[in-house]
Amino acid sequence: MDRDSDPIITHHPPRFAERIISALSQKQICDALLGDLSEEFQAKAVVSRRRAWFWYWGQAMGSAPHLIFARLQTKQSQKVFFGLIIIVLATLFMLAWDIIVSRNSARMVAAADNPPVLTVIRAIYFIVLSIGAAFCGILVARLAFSIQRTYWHNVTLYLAPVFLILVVLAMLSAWDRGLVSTSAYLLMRTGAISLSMLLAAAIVFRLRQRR
Amino acid sequence: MGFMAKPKSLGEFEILVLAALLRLEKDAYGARVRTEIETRAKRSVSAGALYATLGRLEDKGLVQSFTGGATAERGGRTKRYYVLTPLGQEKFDTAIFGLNAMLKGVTAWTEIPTR
Repeated sequence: MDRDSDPIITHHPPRFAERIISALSQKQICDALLGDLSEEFQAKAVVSRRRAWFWYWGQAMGSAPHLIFARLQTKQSQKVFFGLIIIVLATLFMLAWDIIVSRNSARMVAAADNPPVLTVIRAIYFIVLSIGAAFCGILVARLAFSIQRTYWHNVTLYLAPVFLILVVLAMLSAWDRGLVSTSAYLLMRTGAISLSMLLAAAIVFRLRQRR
Repeated sequence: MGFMAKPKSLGEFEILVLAALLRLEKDAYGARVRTEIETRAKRSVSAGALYATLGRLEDKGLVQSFTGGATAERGGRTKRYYVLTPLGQEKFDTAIFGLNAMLKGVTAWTEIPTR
């Protein structure tokens, strides 16, 4: 088909804005909402594409708080909300373990120049961190993952934000690099977080699919 | 004064949405309802706010929705039409009755604003 002769195909709404709306809106209204915006976008784009583009982004940004609020009122979202509270508590526990137990012990051991004990402390922290991250992965997968979507789609939508929070907190908690952490160790703990979360979520997702 | 439960009356925006549904009759889907409110009430409305309100009204049993056809300009996406239920009509009538009763008193000593 000749693209120039078909304004419907030529003017496509901003894809990223579409994705934001799609991610925030409930399943039953998502299609209609995107369709309405697309319809109005086409009409505006005939006059000015730039204005239509700005209008679409304005709609996306203006709609976001309402869509989030509407989602928070559903039972599924309330479950996710409670899940997030548990995740925050689990993260705080991991941080407390890192700061109070591991680092203080490591500081003492480093002062006494005892590398084997330092390695053991690091290993214990490593295990605690991995279990915590796996627990978060299980929780998010149980509460938010939809079996109608693919595993990676679910991961991008629901697990990625939790993962980012965990990684940032893990990095912040490893501020005192000279005593407890090296760059390689930081990379290893980030890898441990992501692997254990993804693996745990994948197991839960597969089990739910089989049921 | 004792404890009184908050009455479940319609909000201002809900009244505007229900009025738009009544005006548009069988052609009441999101984009048309939004344009109707913007044109007549001169009020800027985001699509998300409209759908959130329509969802709330549907949960209350005041409107019901059904899926309509898809067009190319909508990117092949379906429309969602909304109509008032008898309960919605009743609630709307009650709200408008109260509003009219109040406005009668007000218009006796001031002018109705025009834009």
